[in-house]
Amino acid sequence: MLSLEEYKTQLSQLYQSKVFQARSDCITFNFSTIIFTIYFKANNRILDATGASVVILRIEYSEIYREPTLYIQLQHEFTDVSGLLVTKLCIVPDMGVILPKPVQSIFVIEPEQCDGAIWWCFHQCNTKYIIGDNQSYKDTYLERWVSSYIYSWV
Amino acid sequence: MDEIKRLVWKGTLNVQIEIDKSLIIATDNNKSLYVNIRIPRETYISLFTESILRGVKDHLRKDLSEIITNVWFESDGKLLLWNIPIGALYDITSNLRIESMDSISDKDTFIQIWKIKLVYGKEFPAMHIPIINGDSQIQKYWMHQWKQSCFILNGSSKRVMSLHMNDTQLFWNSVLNRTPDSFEQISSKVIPKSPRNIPVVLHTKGQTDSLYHPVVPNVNNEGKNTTLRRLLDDFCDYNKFENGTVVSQGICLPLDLDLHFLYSVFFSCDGFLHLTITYSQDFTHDKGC
Amino acid sequence: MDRDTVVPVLIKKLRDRDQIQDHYNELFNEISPNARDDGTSSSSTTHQILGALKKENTLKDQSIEDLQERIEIMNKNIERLNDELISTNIENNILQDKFESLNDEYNKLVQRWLQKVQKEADVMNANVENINSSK
Repeated sequence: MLSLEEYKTQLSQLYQSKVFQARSDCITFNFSTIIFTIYFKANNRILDATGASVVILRIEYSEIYREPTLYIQLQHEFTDVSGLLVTKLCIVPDMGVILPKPVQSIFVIEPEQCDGAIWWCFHQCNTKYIIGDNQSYKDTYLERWVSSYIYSWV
Repeated sequence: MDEIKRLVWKGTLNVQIEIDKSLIIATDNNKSLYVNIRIPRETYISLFTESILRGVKDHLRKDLSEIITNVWFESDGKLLLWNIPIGALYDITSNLRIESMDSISDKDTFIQIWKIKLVYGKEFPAMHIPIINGDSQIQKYWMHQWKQSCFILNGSSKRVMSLHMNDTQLFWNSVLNRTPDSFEQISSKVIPKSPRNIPVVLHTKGQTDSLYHPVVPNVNNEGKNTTLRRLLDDFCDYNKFENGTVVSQGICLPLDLDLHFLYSVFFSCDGFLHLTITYSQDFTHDKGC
Repeated sequence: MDRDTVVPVLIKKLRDRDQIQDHYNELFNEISPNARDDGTSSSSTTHQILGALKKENTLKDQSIEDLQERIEIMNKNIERLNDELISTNIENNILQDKFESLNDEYNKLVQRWLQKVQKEADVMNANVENINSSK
């Protein structure tokens, strides 16, 4: 569990550390004080399982759970009749397939409305059990959250 | 209190559904195809999609299985989010509110109908959650809503997570098969006597796609119970509200109601209290509280 | 608001709500979400034919879609061809202009050349005449 202020500080640290932006598979990114959106090229596992070539991550804050929340979208790119490269939202029956087998049972991913579109949300009700809620490690909460929620599959 | 709960659970809507013309076998006169049904307020509309289409299957151009994943509902061209209980959707979209039969001059010709459309398309509207796995997906979504409301009420989702498998299924079946006793029995395991926060969803009249989940404490810092007026004070543009109204379960609510009490009798099948706010300048005829 | 006073108010309002909805509600069938196919009608020949025709219809719809896509591609191609034609036309016009101006210039040069040659011839003729007369 993280207060909004703590979240903002840690998110800005995450942004400044450039861990995502520096990666070779990062296409582009967008940052505001509470939302950090990163576009990645899909890895082979995701490409094979869903046909999607772009993965969009959106890190946000849930006021209800008082936790960082990960939303994702998958997009596939194709060339339309006029020869332009366009992207389309990729809809898969079970978003769990994007995760490697060992972590599939840890996360529950369900579609939700968010910011005028459909995003697939990693549910937050067990976040603090996954991350560990010890007060003395609070400063690295988001860092640990990123390694569980993002690095385990991206 | 039980009588209020009974009435909330029993509430129904007369719905006329127009089937998308692109789904119907064209006839000479090109007439529209309608399905008239009565639907309980406390349920999700997409649970009825298959039954509705099955009722007109002889008129459909395609097999049911080919279209079922690509349909949604609209009212006046606006998408109806299936993940909001139908009663709340109706309260958001219906323009004319009649408070009682006494105010109707010509009772013989009066009939209350909600006209909506079942739309088919290859591309989904942006805010529509695609239903790919049928009712089981709806059930999953509903369960997550309960986990969320449980978290808001208790500060953790344990009470829902630790429900026995049979109870979970019984709970869902109570919504499907309209059995109030089992719904009451299991929801009471989740909802505590004195909750921390009240799970509320605020809707704005006429806007089917704007929903807001405020975090509303049951008892505020000063030790007072939150009232409906207090909720509006904290989360709405009060200047705009002025003579506005708050509707839930199809009726206008007095503003000095205790929110916890209101929740305990008016909460929807998804564990949330759905409130529709009408701002005064929007609908002048929506009065009578 | 006192709970004892509010309960009857809410009950009254909900009952009024129901009274309005129940008026002529016999025109609306109750429906159950899990109404399954009764299966009785599906065996009749008409329904079998209907099923087959629906499948065929789907295939036709699919082919219409494919054809429409092809038309779209063709249209794009026509558009592209048109663009190409316009650009070659423009190019042609430019070249035509250039050709004409070069042609003019050439004619002028030829004129000047002829004049120059004429002048030289005249001078030469004059010289020849002078020589002849001085003899």
